[in-house]
Amino acid sequence: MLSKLKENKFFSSHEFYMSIALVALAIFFGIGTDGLFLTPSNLLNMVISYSYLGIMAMGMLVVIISGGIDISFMVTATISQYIMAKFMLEFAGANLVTSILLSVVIGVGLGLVNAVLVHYLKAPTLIITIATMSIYFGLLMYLTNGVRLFSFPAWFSAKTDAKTTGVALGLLAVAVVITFAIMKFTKMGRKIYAIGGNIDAAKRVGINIFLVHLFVYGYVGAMAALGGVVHLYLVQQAAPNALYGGEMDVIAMAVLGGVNLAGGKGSVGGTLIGMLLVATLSNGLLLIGVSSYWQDFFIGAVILISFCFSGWRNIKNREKESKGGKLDD
Amino acid sequence: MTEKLKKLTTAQGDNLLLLLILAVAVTLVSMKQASFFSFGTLQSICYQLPEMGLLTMAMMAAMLSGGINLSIIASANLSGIVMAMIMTTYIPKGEDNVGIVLGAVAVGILLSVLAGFINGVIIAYFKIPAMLVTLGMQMLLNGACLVITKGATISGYPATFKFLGNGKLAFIPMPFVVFAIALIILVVLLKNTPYGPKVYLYGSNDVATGFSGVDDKALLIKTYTISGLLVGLAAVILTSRFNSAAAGYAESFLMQSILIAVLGGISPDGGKGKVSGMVLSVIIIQVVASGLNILRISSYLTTAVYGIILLAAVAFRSKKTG
Amino acid sequence: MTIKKILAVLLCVAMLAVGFAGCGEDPAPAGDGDYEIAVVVKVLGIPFFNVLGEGVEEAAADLGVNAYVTGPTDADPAQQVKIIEDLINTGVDAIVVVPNDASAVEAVLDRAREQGILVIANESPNQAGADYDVEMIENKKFAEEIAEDFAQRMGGEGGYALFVGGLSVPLHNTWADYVNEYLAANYPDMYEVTDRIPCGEDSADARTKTLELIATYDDIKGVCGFGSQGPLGAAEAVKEKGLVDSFVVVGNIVPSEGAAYLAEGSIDQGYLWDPSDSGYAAVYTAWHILEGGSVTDEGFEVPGIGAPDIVEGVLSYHKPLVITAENASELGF
Repeated sequence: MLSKLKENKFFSSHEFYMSIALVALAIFFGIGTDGLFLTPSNLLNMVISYSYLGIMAMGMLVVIISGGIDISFMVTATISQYIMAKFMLEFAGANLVTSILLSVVIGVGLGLVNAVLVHYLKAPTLIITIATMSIYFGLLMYLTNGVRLFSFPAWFSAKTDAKTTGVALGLLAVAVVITFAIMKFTKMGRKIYAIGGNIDAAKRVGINIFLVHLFVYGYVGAMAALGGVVHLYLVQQAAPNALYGGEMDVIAMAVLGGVNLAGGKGSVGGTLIGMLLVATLSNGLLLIGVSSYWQDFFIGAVILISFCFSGWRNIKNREKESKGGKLDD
Repeated sequence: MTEKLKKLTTAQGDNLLLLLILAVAVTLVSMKQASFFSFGTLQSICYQLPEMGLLTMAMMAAMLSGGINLSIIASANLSGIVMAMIMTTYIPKGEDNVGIVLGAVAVGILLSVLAGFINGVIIAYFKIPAMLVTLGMQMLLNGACLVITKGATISGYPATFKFLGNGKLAFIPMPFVVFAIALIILVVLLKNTPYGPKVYLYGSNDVATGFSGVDDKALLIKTYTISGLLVGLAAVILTSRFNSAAAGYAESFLMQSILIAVLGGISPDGGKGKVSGMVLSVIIIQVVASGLNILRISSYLTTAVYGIILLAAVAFRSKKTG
Repeated sequence: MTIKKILAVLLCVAMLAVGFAGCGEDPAPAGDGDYEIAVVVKVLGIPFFNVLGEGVEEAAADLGVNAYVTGPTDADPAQQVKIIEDLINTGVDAIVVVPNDASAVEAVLDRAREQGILVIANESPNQAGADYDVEMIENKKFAEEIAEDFAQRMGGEGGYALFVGGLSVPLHNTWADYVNEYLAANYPDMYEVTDRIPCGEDSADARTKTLELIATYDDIKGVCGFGSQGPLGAAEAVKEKGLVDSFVVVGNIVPSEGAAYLAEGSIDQGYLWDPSDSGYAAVYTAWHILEGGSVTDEGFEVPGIGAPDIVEGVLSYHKPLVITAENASELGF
C-alpha cells in the first residue's frame, strides 16, 4: 500500500512536499499565534495582499518553464500601471474594462521587446532582461520625475471589503486558470515545455522558436500588467518606484513551487503553493511577533533549503534513471 | 576595409577595440572638462576604481565557469558589518589597535570566503543553477545583515582601518594597491596554474569537461570560493572608504559589475574572458560614469545608458561568435 | 611589432595627450562669475525632493547662481559618495547634501572642504565634514509636537505602532525614539504593540502591515507613520476595515497626496515642513557665505523664511507644517 503510494506521481512530486511544508508552517504559525493566523479573515487578507505577486508569478512560471527568465517584469508592471493610471485620470470615458485592457496591451508590448532581444541576441535571458529593466526603469523615472498619480475616479477608488476581495481574488483566479489552461491543454503550452526541456530537439522537430518566445515574453508582460492593476487597486496610487526591487518575492514563489530553471518543468499548482509559502512566511512571522528584520533571512534560508532538497531528489532520480527504475516527478 | 574591420573584431582585436572605446570616451569627456586627467582626478579614479574592479573580478570568476554570482553585494555588506562590529566593540572610539583591526579584516574576508564556499557546494553537489543559488544566498545574507544591525549603521573606525581605504602607499592609493595585488593573483591563477585552463574548459562545455576526468565539483567549489575571496577584499575597501556599514549599501553596483564583465569580453555563457579586457572595461565605465556626472546627466538616465551599453556589448559579442 | 600593437600604442599616447592637455589647470569652472551650487539629495524622483528642487530653482533665479539638484537612484549612501566625488573633481563652489547616512559621507565631505568647496548639510544636524547644517524643524520639538497630538487623538491610552521609512533612516528613527520617550513620560497608558515597522516609504507595504496589525493586536488604536507613504497605506487599510472613525492615523504626508484621506478622515493629521523652504534656505546660505558673508552677521536671515537659531553650526528655522483637511489642497505640493 505504501509502495503504491510512493509510485503515485502526485505523492512523490515536488509539489507534494511543498504542500506538506506549507501545511506544517500553517500549523506552526497557527499554534504560535493562538489560532489567529488561521482565522478566515487573516488568511483572506493575506491572500489578497499577495494576490498581485501571485499573478506575476504565473507569468514567471511560464517564462522559466521555457528555459529563460525575465527580471524586467516589475518595471513592466509599473509602466503599464502608470499609463493606466494616467488614462483613468484624463479620459472621462475610461472604465474598468478599457483601463485593464490598456494596461495589458502595454505589458505585452514591453514583453515583446524582450522577446525580440532574447531571440536575436543569443545571450542569457538574465542579462538581457537586466539590461531592459535598467533601460525601462531609468527612462520611466527620468520622464516621470517620480511624480505619483492618485485620486482616481470613484468607480475605481470606492473600495469596500467585498469589492477588494472580488478584484484581487478574481483576477488571481483568472490568471491561474488561463495559465493552467494554456500550459496543460494547448499546443503552445506543450511547445513551451519542449523548448525549455531541450531547445535543439525542439528546433529539429520544427517548432517555431521565435513565435514561442514572442508568446512567452508577451505573456510575462501581460501577467505583470495584470498584477500591476491589482496593486493599483489595493494602494490607489501609481508611484514609478513602488514595485521596483520586489522581483525576488515573485521569483521565490516560482522557485519554491518547483519550477526547474533548466526549463521544461513546473506547474501552476506548484507556483500557487509557492505563493502561499512566501505569503505565509511573511504574514506568520509578523503575527508571532518576530521582527521584520528576520523575514528576508528566513525566506532566503527556506529557498536555499528547498534547493538542496529538490537538488537531492534530482540526484536520486538520476541514479534511479541509470538503474532503470521509475522516476519521481 | 571590411577585412580590417573583421580583424578588429576577432578575439585578439578585442582589447584593441576596448582601447579604442576608451580613447573615444576620454576624448569626449576631455572636451567638456579640460583637466580631466589632472592629478586630482586621476587620484580620485584610483580611489574609486578598485572597489568596482574587485567586485567585477568576483563576478568574472563565477562567469568564467558558466555561472554567475548575484550574492556579491550582500556578501560584501555582511562582511563589512561584521568587521565593523568587531572593531567598534573591541576598540574604544578614537583609539587604534592594529592587531584587532587585522583580526577583524581577517574575519570579514573569511566570512565572504565561507559564503562563496557554500554557494559552490550547493551548485556543485545539488546541481542547482548558479543564478538561483546565488539569488537565494543574496536574500539570506541580506536578511542576516538586517538581523545583525536591526537596520542601523555601524560607523566610526580606527585609523588603521581607515588607512586601508583612504591612505597611500608611496603615492599610490591603498585601494589600488589591494586591487593590483588581487589582479596579479587572478592572472597567475588563470594563466599559470592548472585551475585556469580547467575553468575555461568547463565554462565552454561542462559536460565534456566532466567526462575528461576533471573533478567538476571541486572546480566549482574553488571557483565560488575565489569569488568569495575577491568579495571579501572588496568589502574591506568599501567599508573603509564609506566609513560605515549597513544592510543595503551599493545595490546598484551589482548590475554595474555584470555590465563591466560583459563589456570586458567575459562571456556570460562561460569559457571566455581575459583579465586585461576586464580592466579596460572597468576604466571605460569609470570614465563614462564620471563623464555623465560632469555633463550633469540625471542618475536615472545614466541607469538607462548602462542598460543600453550592456545590450550593445551583448549584441556585439554575440555577433562575433555567430 | 604588429600593426595592432602599433595602433594600440598610438591610441594610448593620443589619449594621454588629450587627457593631460589641460593639466595644471584648476579643476574649478572657468570662473564666469556664476557660483555653482550642487544640491545632492537622498534619492531622485521622490515628490519630497522634487519640491525641494523647486526651492533650489527659486533661489537660483533670485540670486543668479547656478544651483541644481542631483542625486542617486536609490537611497544608497555609497552612490551618494560617488556623486560627491565626481562633483569635487569637476569643481563646484558649494555642495549641499541631504545624506542617506551621516558617517558614510564624512570622509568625502572632508575632501571637498580641503579643495575649498563649501559644504552645507540638510536633515543631518552635527554632520561631520560639513561647514553648516540647515534644518527646517528642530527634531525633538517636532517629534514631541506630533506625539502630543497623537496622544490627544488616542484619548491618552491604548496600543499604537510606529512606521519608519527604513530601519536606518536617521531622521525617522530619531523622531520615533523621541515619540516613544515622550509618550512613556507623559502618557503611560499608551504603549507600542510591536517594534517599529520599516514600511514608511511604501504604501502597499504599509497597507499590508496595517491590516496585519489590526488583525493581530486587538488593542491597537493608532498608527503614527514617519515616511510620507506610510499614512496613505494605513488609511487604505483602515477604510477597508471600516475603522475610519475609531482608528487614528497620523504622520508625514505630502499634502496633495493626503488631501483626500484627510477630507474623509481616514488620516487624522499630517506633519511635515515645506521642502522648498529647505532648498531655498540652503542655497541662500551657501550664496551668502560664498559672497563673503557669515551666518553670524547681524540681521542675517533668509528672505521669506526668517532668521535662524544657530547652535554649533546648526541653523534651525522651526517651521513645521501641520497638514489638515482644511489646508492640504492649498499648500501647493
